[in-house]
Amino acid sequence: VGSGWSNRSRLLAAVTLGAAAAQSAVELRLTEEARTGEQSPLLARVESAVGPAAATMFVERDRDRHFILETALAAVALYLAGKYLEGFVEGLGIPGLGRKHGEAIAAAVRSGLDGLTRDEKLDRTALEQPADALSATLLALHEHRSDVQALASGKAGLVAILEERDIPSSEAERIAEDVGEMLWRL
Amino acid sequence: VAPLILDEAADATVYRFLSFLRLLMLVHPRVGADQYAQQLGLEAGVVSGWNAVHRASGAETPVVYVFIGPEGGRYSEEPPDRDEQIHHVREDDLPTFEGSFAWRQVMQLADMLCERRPQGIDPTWVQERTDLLCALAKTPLRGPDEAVDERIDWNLAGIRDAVNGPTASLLTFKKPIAQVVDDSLRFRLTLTQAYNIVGVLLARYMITFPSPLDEMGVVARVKNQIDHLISLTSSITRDRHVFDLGSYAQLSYVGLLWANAVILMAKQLANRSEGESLTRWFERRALYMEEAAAHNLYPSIFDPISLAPFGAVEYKLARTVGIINPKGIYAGAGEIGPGPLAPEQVWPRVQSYSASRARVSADNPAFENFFSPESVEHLSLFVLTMKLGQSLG
Repeated sequence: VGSGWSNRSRLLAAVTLGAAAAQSAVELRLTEEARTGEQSPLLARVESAVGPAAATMFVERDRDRHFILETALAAVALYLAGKYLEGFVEGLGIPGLGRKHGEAIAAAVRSGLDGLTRDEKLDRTALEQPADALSATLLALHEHRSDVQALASGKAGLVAILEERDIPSSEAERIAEDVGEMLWRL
Repeated sequence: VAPLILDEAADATVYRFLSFLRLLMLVHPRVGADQYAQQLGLEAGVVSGWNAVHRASGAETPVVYVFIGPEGGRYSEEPPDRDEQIHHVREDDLPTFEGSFAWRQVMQLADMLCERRPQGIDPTWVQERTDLLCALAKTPLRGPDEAVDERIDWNLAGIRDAVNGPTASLLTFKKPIAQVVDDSLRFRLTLTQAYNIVGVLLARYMITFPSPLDEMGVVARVKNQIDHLISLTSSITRDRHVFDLGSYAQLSYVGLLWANAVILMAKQLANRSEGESLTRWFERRALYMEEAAAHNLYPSIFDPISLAPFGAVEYKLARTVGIINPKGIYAGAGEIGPGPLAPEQVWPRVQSYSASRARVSADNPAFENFFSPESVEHLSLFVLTMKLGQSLG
């Protein structure tokens, strides 16, 4: 960190009319196409808990700003939902459950990760099937939804992932809490 | 801090006038007027495909590139491939404020307020605000702002005097920032002026007031302060919906003040940091805050949907386009999602909801809790060090 702020005149130029304002204009121009199509209720809930700001931290790779659209947000939501459940099942400590549901959870994580790392256009329907499978898993695990150790394990895993993406700790805690709440809201 | 918070839902004229002030005082009156015209479809602005946005003189980056396509958008400081067709947009070409649709609207509202004199607003207050808007509209879009520099110098000189005297306390540091918050909420400063002052003061507090009693290093202190403001902005963004309309609007505005102070501090410190990981830390915090502000806070001010009850052009837009991004729209507007609205239903719903909600108090953390606990400790230790030094002669 530098020792002073000698050239304050640069400050006004740095932020005013910056990317955020440009984004607001771009959002207005983006067509409704990306918003059409039926959305998995599970994904919609987790998307609202994650939010576009946190999702952006998963998809930005270089200095250019890519304005996140709902498909990319859905991919991040699916990935995080899968990772939360991965930690949750681990926290339950019941090996049989891990074997039974592991495949659906792993598929959700894979599909989400694939969606947020690929460069070409993401097919939203590719996210719907693993999201539906994850919904069925949640239903099957519903009786364990109050297990304190499992909830803490699911949340802790998610917080670590969010922090790895440079999301501030307090925000990571809040998002992980909200994702957990949204997942069990069947 | 005694922010201006009125029962805006009780009087549509008051609400619309204050909403236009928030829109026009956010960045620059010409920018606000242009945003409004673009949102209403009265100005083209950026178009589909690649746009080169030529910034007004004084900008650090003279040209930025914005791509708009059906699959998404992109914002870059690098030009696209040579073969790409580029639409050029020049900030210097922005229409004059006095010729804008927003200006006509705000002047009509000002006349109505002066005639009706609703509680809390008198003609002198209205005149001062409209005069300020017109004066600000003539200032350059970018570059140095003498008023900002003078205010920072004046505040720092006052702090230096105070800390060398017997009455120094944490309040010595808190008061200048609280005063800026108050001035911005009363529209005596644009929000851009406010966050430039606040950002510089906060950074100076963390960097240039050392205390041998404080074991925390400069970098950790700055990081803590930035994360604290991000957390504060996030709390404001979530909690503002439980209050009445006027409170919601003011909380959105002050949320943007903190968000932009974070962006300013983080970007400037990223440029001045040594080491890739520290630079990246600041850049990523700036990115996170920019995204949160763009999705959750800017629509509360920029989106004409938030101007209900609508004027004629806004009404048409509400019926045909409606909501593009529902984030940032007051919860009192009802169950809202992307798509056209029934415009007649919006304002009565907002009024009914707002009437059932409490007014935010002036001592709400949103207005006062801008120091991180570590900053409080640091500044308190600095004051203590100074007092120890004075007592030892």
